[in-house]
Parts: sequence; C-alpha cells; structure tokens
Amino acid sequence: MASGMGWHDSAPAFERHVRGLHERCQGAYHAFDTLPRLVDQLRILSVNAELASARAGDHGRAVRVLTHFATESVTRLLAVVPRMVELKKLTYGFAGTVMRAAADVLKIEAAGSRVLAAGHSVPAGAEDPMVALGRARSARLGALAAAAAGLSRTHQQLLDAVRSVREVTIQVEIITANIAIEATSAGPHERDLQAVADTMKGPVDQLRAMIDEAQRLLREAAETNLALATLGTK
Amino acid sequence: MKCYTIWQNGDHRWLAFAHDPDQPDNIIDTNQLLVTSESGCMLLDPGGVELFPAMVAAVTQEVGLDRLKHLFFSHQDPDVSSALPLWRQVCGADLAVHVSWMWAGFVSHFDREAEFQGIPDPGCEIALSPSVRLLALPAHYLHSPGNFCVYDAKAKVLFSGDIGAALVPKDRQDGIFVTDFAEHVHYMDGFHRRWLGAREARDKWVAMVRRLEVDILAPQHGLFFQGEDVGRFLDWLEALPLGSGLEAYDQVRV
Repeated sequence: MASGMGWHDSAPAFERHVRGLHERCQGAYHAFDTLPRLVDQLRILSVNAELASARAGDHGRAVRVLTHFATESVTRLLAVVPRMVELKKLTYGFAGTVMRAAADVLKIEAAGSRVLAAGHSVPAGAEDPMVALGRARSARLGALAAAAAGLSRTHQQLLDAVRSVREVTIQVEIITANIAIEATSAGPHERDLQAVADTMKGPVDQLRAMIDEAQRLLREAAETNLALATLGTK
Repeated sequence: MKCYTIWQNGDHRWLAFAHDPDQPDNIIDTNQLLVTSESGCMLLDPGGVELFPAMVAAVTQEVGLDRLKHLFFSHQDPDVSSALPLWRQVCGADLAVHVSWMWAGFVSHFDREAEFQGIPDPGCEIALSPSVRLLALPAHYLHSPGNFCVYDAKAKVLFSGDIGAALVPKDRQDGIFVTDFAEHVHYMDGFHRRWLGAREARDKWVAMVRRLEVDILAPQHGLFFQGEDVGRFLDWLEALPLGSGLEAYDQVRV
C-alpha cells in the first residue's frame, strides 16, 4: 500500500470500505425503522381478531385459538424491539470508531508522505519522525481492526435478531392464512373474520419485505466488515 | 509550510510555522508557534486536524517529536485543538496538554483519552526547562471566555492567540512581520470588531500587556507585530469599538 510519494496510502481502500460501511449500517437500520409501528399494528389487529372471534360465538372457536397464538407471537416481536435499539446503538458506536481510526490513519500517512517529500532530514540526536509515525499508524490500525471486529459481532447479533423476527413473522403469516380458512366455515360471521385475516396480511407482508431488505444489507455489511478487519491487521 | 525563526538565543528559540502553500482555501490560515529549550519544547496552538500532516513534516525538520513535551491551546476552537489526538499518537506518553480548566471537558470531545493540565483563570507558569519558563496570561473573553496568551520574559515575545489576528490575502503574505501598520489595519479591523465582544476585558488585557516588555506580539492568524508596531497595535485596539454582531439584535423583527 505504498503511495506515489513513498509511504503508505490506505485512502483508496478506506474510502471505498468506510463509505460502504456507513451506507449499509444506515440502510440496515433504516429497514427496521417501521418495526415498532408494524408490531403495534399487529398487536391492535390481534386484539380486534379476538373480539371478532368472541362475537362469532361457536363459529369463531377455532379462530379464537388462532388469535391467541397470534397475540403470543406479537408479544415475542415486541420483545425484539428494545434489543434492536441496543444493537443499533452499539453498531453506530463501532462504526464511528472505525471511521475515526481510518481518518486518523490517513492523516498520519499524509504526515509521513510530507516528511519524505520534505527530504526526511532528522535533526541531530532526534528520533526519526518516521518511526513515531509508523508506531502511531500501527496503533490506529489496531484500533480500527478492534472496532471492525466489534462491528462484526454486533452484526451477527443483529442477524440473530432478524432471524427471530423472520420466524415470528412466518408464524403470524401462517396464523393469518388459517384464520382465512377457518373464516369460510364461520357461517354468518364469515365476512367479519375474513376481514380480520385480510387486515392482518398487510403488516405481515410489510414485515416480510423489511426483513428481506435488512438481511440483504447485513450480508453486504458483513463483507465490508471483513475487508476492514483485514485492512486493520495489515 | 514555512518556518520563521522569530527569536533565538542558543537552544531557546521561537519558531513560527505558517503560510502552507498546500492549505485549501476554505480552511482559515493559522500560525503555529514552537518554543524550544535545551530539553523540552512546546507547540502553541498546533493547528487543526487538516494541518497536522504539514505541521509534523515542518516541525520535525527542527526538533524530534520525542522532544515535544507540551501542547498549549489558547482556547478551544477546532483550528487550535482538533489535531490533539493525532499529536498524542505521535508524541511521547509524557506530553502535557495545557488548556483553560474551562475547556478540558469540551476539548475531550476531540480526544476522550487525553489528560489536561487545566490552566487556572489567573494563568500559570509553564517550565520547558530550568532556564526557559513561560507564563500563561489571561485573555478571557477575547474572544473565548477561557482564553490565554503566552509570554516569554527572556525573549520578550507574547503569543496573543486571536488578539491581533488578521485575515491577510495570500499575495500579501511576504514574511511573517507587519511592514505597514496602517495598511495592515484593514485586514484585522473586521475580525476584532466581530470576534471580540468584551470592552472591559479588552481594556484590562491592554493594561496588562503595557506592563510587560514585549518586542514581538504574535497572533494565531495573520502577521506578527514587532518593535513600535506592538505599541501601535495596543493603541489601535484600545480605541476600537467591539461587538459588531450586537447590531443583529436590532434587525430582528419579532
């Protein structure tokens, strides 16, 4: 990674990876921005479903069982939200450290290049500035690698959280489909219960789209993390 | 980055680093000063993060980084202190960072691991060696509320921070000293009227400086005053209306 001026030049690699890291972190969490609202919608809809099935009396018995499961699933989703917020905070903390360390490395490398360009003259008895700059560069690259490793761990935890959301979403999706099936045998209450199933389908579809997008961005971010960690250990 | 020796007696030197030809136009031009002694050296207002590469290259032509034992920040502004974490990375662990006690917690936003020698309001002595002892003198409210100058009684040099600062066009930056005081006033007038807002502080500062023997008055921006120009500058500053921004309050329509 020697520059044209004779010393290291990590700028091109850092610029590419750090910009990618920032965009993917933002994108992954942006994908989840609507999670609390969707979960709240599902919570209200599952309460409505319970009321509708209660109104249906015996015709709504099977739907009542299903809505009970739906409520439980939504409660599990609710528990994921604070964990996501915590992971978001950690991710931005690590990403900030990576960006800061990368900026420091670039300035230290620029200083080394300027020293060399100026003729690299060392006053008598003084320490060679390139030694101090090399030491500082290694220290900051080490900090960058440590932060990139932290970022990888956090991403793994976020992927686990996304997987949980995905499992619960699939459960709610199946429950919604079953409510629609049960509605067909609910006699005079068929239309009400069908409406319940149709209304629940909206937020579930949105959750699916959100998860797919977040998983895609997180996969890409993992590649960026690996590249940064590799740069940091060079 | 040009290096000007503005005073020297053996190992005891005052060096000014300024006029970096590679400095982008959108970054305000700054002067960085280095005081050397037979042992430790001190950088005064070492400049912002963008200036760090040029400063390291220039300073290390004169002294080794291992001899840099003190950083002095006249106040908290980013053009003064934002390169702190980088300097701490390249200097030894015994580097002392001097800043007003008021700003230690604020400058820590640039470098949370830095430890500061908080300068008390009346100032303090900073010894670079047994024979080179500098005085941090108060310059509060000019412009920062926690602001200091540095005075060297042996060299009769006063580093005045933003007091005396001027925005000099690049084509008028021949040398580091003011050569035509009357012309130079145009470059510092607007700055002082706007950046300095406290007349009482200005009067106290001028009175304090008149009690010192000052041959060279070196601000953080623009050119330095020497000889009779030091007195001319004090006279000019003493008569200047300050706080031009106050007019904005009368323009508000609410």
